[in-house]
Amino acid sequence: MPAPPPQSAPPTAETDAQLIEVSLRHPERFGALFDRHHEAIHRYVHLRLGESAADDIAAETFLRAFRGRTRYDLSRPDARAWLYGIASNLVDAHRRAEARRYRALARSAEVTDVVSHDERVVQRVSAAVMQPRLAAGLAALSPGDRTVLLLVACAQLTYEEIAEALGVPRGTVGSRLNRARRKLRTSITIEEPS
Amino acid sequence: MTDDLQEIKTFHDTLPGPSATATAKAKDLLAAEAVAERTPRTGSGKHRLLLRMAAVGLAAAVAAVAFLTGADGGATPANAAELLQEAATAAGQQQAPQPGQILYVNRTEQTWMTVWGRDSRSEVTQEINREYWIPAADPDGALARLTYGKLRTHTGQAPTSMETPGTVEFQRAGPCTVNVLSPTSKGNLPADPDQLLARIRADAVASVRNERPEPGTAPPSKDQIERLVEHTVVSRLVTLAGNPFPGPGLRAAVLGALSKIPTATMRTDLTDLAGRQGVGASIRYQGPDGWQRAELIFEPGTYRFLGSRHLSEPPRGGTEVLRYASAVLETKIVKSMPKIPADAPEAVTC
Repeated sequence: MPAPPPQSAPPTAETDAQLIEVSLRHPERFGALFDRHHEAIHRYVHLRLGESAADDIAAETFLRAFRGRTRYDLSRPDARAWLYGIASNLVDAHRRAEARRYRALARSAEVTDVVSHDERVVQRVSAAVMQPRLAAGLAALSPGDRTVLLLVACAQLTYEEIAEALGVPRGTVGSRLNRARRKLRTSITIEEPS
Repeated sequence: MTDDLQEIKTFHDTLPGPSATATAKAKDLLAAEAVAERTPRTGSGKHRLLLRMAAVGLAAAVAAVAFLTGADGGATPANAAELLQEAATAAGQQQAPQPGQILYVNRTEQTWMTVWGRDSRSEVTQEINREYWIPAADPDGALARLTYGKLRTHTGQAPTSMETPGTVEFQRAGPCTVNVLSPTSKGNLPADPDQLLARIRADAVASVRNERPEPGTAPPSKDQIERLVEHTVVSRLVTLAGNPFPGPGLRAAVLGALSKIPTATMRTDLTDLAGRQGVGASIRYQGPDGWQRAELIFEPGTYRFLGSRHLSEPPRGGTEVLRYASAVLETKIVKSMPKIPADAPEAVTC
């Protein structure tokens, strides 16, 4: 059995907040937070901006988080909302590119990303069945509404967590989500359960 | 979760995770940041930057400069246009040599060449070290010393007509100044990026339209003409960017004009001929014989010009071939020009 990579974080029951607190004295421990959440953040950005941009922005998210960790509210054990908030702000700077991506996806059902694994091909072809319609719906949303919708759908954050992540009132989260879903329904045909 | 949200979630979950390379890069950057934070803040910003780069270099041989902050603490450019603007600003802030001073530039180059003999054809790569002495008061009196380096033969027989390694040659380099436009173009190049771009484009249009098709061939289509114009504009700007003669104002204008080329993309994984990692812009354009690409490479943080690379794709596609690479090794102000040895061949005009 191959040895685990030397930089992998050991299994730990520490909360994110505890890791962040320890990283204030031992910066290298922040890598454990990276190990926990990098893949999820990357996938979230991938959906919004594509794989190549996700490589950069997910990395930048953790750099910014590391630099700003002294301001993290240690009373919040789960750092996901904080990380998704940073990632969402970074994505927001590319809102035009994001809209272009959705419009392009809406125009074509082709899978444009380079894939090298058969399983991924199968998954993507399956996903691509709804992708153009979904993309058209997402393209029609305002950036703020879209961010809330995707944080609910992809990150499965609560209203409170999204409010914390984006720095907006909880009520704003609710109204943005309702508005986004209303618009989205005009683009996506929902299959009724038989 | 309702159906519309579930549909997004399903799509999201089918996306692949980050590649191992991307994860390693990101983690190396983070590790480098941690190392930099442990460095006492008494050092200069440049010192911390170097440490961060060194840490990244140790962590992995990957492009590790993507998220470094600039030397002034500013954010890394988001795209090629911003990066080239940063480089233009940096170039414009350079101090121009004063009258009586001489600008010395030491550049190493590697050029891919096709050498035709009577009955043979060879493809070779030649290394040349090129030193310039450019008097501020008299650029036309500039002198260049070329020292030929290794010659590698890729196909065919080793040509006998090439300079052997170690050969030294002097050139009267004055005519190599910034006159990259056609001989009919007169006057100095403008130091405003928009005006410079317009001037170079107008000259390129005139050059392309003046070209006569070879006998028996059809005149180029409108689309072909447009491609040739773009090719001419980009290649001339790239040539100017690597030219040692422009002063700070014109160099800034050249980089500013390049920032307006829409096909430029930012790269954080570039390496110059001297092996230095840098950030830069990659500009792809269609040449007469297929796609070409130019890379302009800058030092991360300072945006000092390090060098360039030119690559081309075979006409029928395939792996890009490196046609030319350069690295500026040294730039400084000196007080005197070298004397051409009495036994040296007569200096030629470049």
